[in-house]
Amino acid sequence: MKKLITILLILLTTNVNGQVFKKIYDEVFKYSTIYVAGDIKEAYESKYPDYFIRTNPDDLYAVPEVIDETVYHPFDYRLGFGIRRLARYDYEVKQNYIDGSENMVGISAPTGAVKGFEYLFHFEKERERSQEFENSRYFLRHTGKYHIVKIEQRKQGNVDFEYQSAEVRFKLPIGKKLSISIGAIARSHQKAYGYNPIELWLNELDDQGNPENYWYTLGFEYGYTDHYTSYTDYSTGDVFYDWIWRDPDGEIVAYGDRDFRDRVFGDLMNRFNKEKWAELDPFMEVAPIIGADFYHYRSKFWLHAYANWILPYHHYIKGNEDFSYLHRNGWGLQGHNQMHSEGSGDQWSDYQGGLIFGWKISKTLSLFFEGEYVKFWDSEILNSSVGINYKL
Amino acid sequence: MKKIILIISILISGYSYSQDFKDDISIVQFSAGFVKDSEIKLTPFKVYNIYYFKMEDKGIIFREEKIKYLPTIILYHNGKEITRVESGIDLKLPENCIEVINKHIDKLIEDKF
Repeated sequence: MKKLITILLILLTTNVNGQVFKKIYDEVFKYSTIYVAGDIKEAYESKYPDYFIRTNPDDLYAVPEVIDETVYHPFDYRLGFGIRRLARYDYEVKQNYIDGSENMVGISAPTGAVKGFEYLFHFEKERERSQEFENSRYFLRHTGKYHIVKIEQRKQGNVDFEYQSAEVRFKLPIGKKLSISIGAIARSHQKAYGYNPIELWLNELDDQGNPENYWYTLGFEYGYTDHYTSYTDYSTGDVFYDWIWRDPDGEIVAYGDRDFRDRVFGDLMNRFNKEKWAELDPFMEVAPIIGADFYHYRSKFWLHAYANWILPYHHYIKGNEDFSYLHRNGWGLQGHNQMHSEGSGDQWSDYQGGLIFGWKISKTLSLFFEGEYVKFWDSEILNSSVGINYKL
Repeated sequence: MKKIILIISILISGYSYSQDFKDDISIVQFSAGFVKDSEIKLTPFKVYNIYYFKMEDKGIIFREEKIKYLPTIILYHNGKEITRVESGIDLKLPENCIEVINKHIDKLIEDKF
């Protein structure tokens, strides 16, 4: 009897486990695609080759040597792998294969083309103009009748862009085509918007109203030196004076202050800003979000409109708030104006919206429009395409 | 601009209201009071759009959809009929009715990925 019960229990648990695994498989893994893909392209090549001449150091006016200094890059490539379970909307063209470069509407829209789990885990390495980068995109969303939960991470090495977000929303369907959603979103940003360290440094004044840091002293900060010299115009006999600049290795880099400012100083400014920005930790903020999604599809007419509005109630949970976007207007010639001690800074709204519309008016005539607008912090991106097709 | 928006809205709303039951993935059971016992529950498809139509209430739709047998179950996708399962002379739907519809839905979903 005991044996029988044991066998029955084993069979039962195996069956239950099997059902559980099947349910997990159906809801999480079914229809997903694992892929490895890449591409190879010819690298950028300048229209005309670049040349310079090498002169004889002992005889400046001897026949010089012409040197081709055009940069010839090795081929560009992209190699990535990942797993994807992202449903396409009916108006999106189905691809025969996945290579990881697809930009699907479902990722931007608040709700997906199907309910349940959708995800993308993609990692790639790329080389562009001899420089190698790593890019990644991780996306996970669960959409139900009354909820949306989403986490996302994106890293684009060639533009030094990193973004993370997590959101939870309550979704309210209004009919079969329209839904609105409300919830909270946490987002990260790397950049200290509105904070320009070099501008602050250059504009700092002492008690007498004179510059605290004369522009050229930035050169000294980075080991450059200058010395006074005179130049004589042999035609006129005029003598004028300027500063010769040398780099930290003692090489002459400019024959005057203007020359130094025009050719060297710009790089030093960028270097200064990069160093100051690098001292700041990434920022993370939380804000309420409202979204709407309308989807209607028929083979001859389709309309998909979606919008997200991140409300002006941002609260920073990571990063130095003095340098956050809340305080983007809090920096002036005298440094930070302590906005945070007087109030909560300058709130703002962020938006994202998309509209996809297609109409096959007749067998020969059709109209289409696709567009998306994103305004996040200081960044604004608008992508759109519109057209009329007439088949002969 | 206002006129264009108005025209589009009318087009969408007018068209969609009349064909609402065919949106996205929809399963519709066409039946009548006298075959109530032969109806099946569409709850296995509750994640999609499900509708129960009675001939007494929606006679026009029955005519438009050319319903010959009661009950009949039709699977629609974005306005198009994908498959229909009809009852026989005994007024009973086939036993594998749910399975047949599920198979078609599976294909539709697979096509989205």
